[in-house]
Amino acid sequence: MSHLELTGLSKSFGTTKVLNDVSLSVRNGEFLTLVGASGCGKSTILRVIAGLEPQDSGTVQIGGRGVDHLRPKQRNVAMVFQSYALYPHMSVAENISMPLVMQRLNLAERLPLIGRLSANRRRVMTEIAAEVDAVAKQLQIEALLTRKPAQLSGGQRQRVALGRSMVRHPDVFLMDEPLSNLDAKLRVHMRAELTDLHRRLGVTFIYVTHDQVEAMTMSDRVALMDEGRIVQLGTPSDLYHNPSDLRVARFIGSPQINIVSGTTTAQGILVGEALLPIAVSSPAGQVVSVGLRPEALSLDPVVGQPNLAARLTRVENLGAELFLHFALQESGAPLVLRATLQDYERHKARLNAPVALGVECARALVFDAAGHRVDQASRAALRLEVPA
Amino acid sequence: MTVALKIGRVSASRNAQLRAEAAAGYAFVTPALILIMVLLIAPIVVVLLLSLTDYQLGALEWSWVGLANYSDMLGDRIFLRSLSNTFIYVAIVVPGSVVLGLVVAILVQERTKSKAIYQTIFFLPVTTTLIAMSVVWHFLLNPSLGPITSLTRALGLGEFDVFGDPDLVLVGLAVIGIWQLVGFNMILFLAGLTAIPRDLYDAADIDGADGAWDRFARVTWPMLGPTTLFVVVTTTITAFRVFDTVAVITRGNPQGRSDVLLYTLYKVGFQDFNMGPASAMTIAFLVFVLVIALAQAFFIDRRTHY
Repeated sequence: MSHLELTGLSKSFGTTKVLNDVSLSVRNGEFLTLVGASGCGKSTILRVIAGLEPQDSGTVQIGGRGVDHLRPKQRNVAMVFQSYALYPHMSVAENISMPLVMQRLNLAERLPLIGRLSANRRRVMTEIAAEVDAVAKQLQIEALLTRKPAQLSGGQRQRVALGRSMVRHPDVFLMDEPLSNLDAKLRVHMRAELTDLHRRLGVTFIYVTHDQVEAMTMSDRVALMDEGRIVQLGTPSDLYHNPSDLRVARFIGSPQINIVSGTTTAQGILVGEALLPIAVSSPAGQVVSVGLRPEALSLDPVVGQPNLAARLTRVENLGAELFLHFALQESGAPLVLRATLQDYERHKARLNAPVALGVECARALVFDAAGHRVDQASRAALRLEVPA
Repeated sequence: MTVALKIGRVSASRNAQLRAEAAAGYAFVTPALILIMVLLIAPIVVVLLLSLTDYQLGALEWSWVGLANYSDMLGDRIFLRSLSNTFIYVAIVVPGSVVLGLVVAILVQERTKSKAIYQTIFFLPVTTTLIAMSVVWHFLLNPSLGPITSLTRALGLGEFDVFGDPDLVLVGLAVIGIWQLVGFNMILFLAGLTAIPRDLYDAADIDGADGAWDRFARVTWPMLGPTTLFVVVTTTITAFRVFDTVAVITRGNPQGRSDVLLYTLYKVGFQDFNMGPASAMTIAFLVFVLVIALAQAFFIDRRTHY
């Protein structure tokens, strides 16, 4: 169990800069997720931490100890690969015991026939078998120990890959999109299992995904990456409610945040005819993007609340809630509104004609042309920290 | 009653439909079946029948001799010697060209820029005509004029008459066989090596299997199982068919120590025109090849596919 410190990591492949001065501090026992679109450098960070890929500059420290000169096996990290990377010719038990066999037996003892003559080998192998059994029990794969990976389902292979990582009690778990090869239902299930596993082991997890739902639901903190840099690092609710950058606002949240374009004035932001009274740091006359989460819009604006005229284009019914898709009257820009079934039933009749959608300005996020946050409202009040 | 009748009628029309479908199916299969029969099965059947006769090439009369050709063959010193020489040759060529092919493939694969050049160089012997290259080898190893002999003489190792020495002749032929097969085996192994997922080596690195031997023993070699099996089988069959070098360089000499199966078969059939015994030998040859192929299909295949 150790904290992890990345300082000024840079890495290029040819002329492509994959990592650009990345610094990151991960607390001991934290579940940190690196999230971003493909090619943003998140997997490369993982490979640099593991020692599979040398960085061009910068340092990696695990538990206060510099590991840059160490080989992967000496860093005491474990990695779960997207493809699971199980050895297809070995049984489940052999796969899981591999790291221990390599650690505890010398070259002669590992040789196929000669190794069997060693008494030490027999003793160590018995020890290892017991540890493998214990891990298999934790993951509920005891019944599969004699099978080959090809005879397992995706979910079972995933567990074997986890078992191979757990058996050596690593300081840091590195996971490279471990759930992306599973079907949707199993993915939801494994999300819960992984968070549970993290809680039980209490070890630092660094988890890479392109799926913002995984990032939001599993992590203590999330680092959103783009073009080789960390754009924002924060708790999931930070990233959702208080994004520092338009890219973060767009990436996090499902359905995606509504972005409407407006112009700054002395009184607020003008979106079409509507004036949204939001204080911004930009000078008047600038074009800005106003980000409105689907729950920052309502079907029945209270008297005096700023509103946007729009007409309904499509209804997505998810059962407990509905996503109502609107088009702005003036620009035709799409807007999604999250409504309860009751709300929808109440307003259904008048949705055939254009309606006024109430805007909760306190929740509006404003970004300048470069994508930086420019509204001044404090977001602290809206933070919904999950009690530890 | 009417219901039963109706069912009967339905099933009758159903049967008619099935028959029509079956007929169409056979019609589609027939051309391929005929070609297989004429081109693949018929020649074997003809050879099988010839092996039961005393037919001589060009002769107008022949008669059935039953299994006499086979019993003669099993008692024939030259045939048995050819057989054992062929096995010795195979026993040298198969391990030699498979191991060398693998080593060369692993070495070549690690290269990035020069990979294509090395591949081409090692593949060259495969593209040449073995008959022509046999002449070259014959010259290279010539005990009085050959450059290799000059070299060994200069190094103080003495002179070797490889193709004249009864103990060396098979080794000499096998070296040429290996030389010719390494490139082909290398290409097959290279294909196998590229198919190994990178992730496995990464996982091996993290698990601690990061030395050259461990990477080979834990990942490369097991993952090459199916390729190796294929290479061994094709190499065995190719080695079993050794003919060109013997026909050009040694003609079975010295003292019949380089008599091999196909060369003996050729002599009996096309120099002595004894088609009966030659056909019997052909059948024996086919049986060996068949055994190798069946061994692959039934035993080893199951253990190397994961």
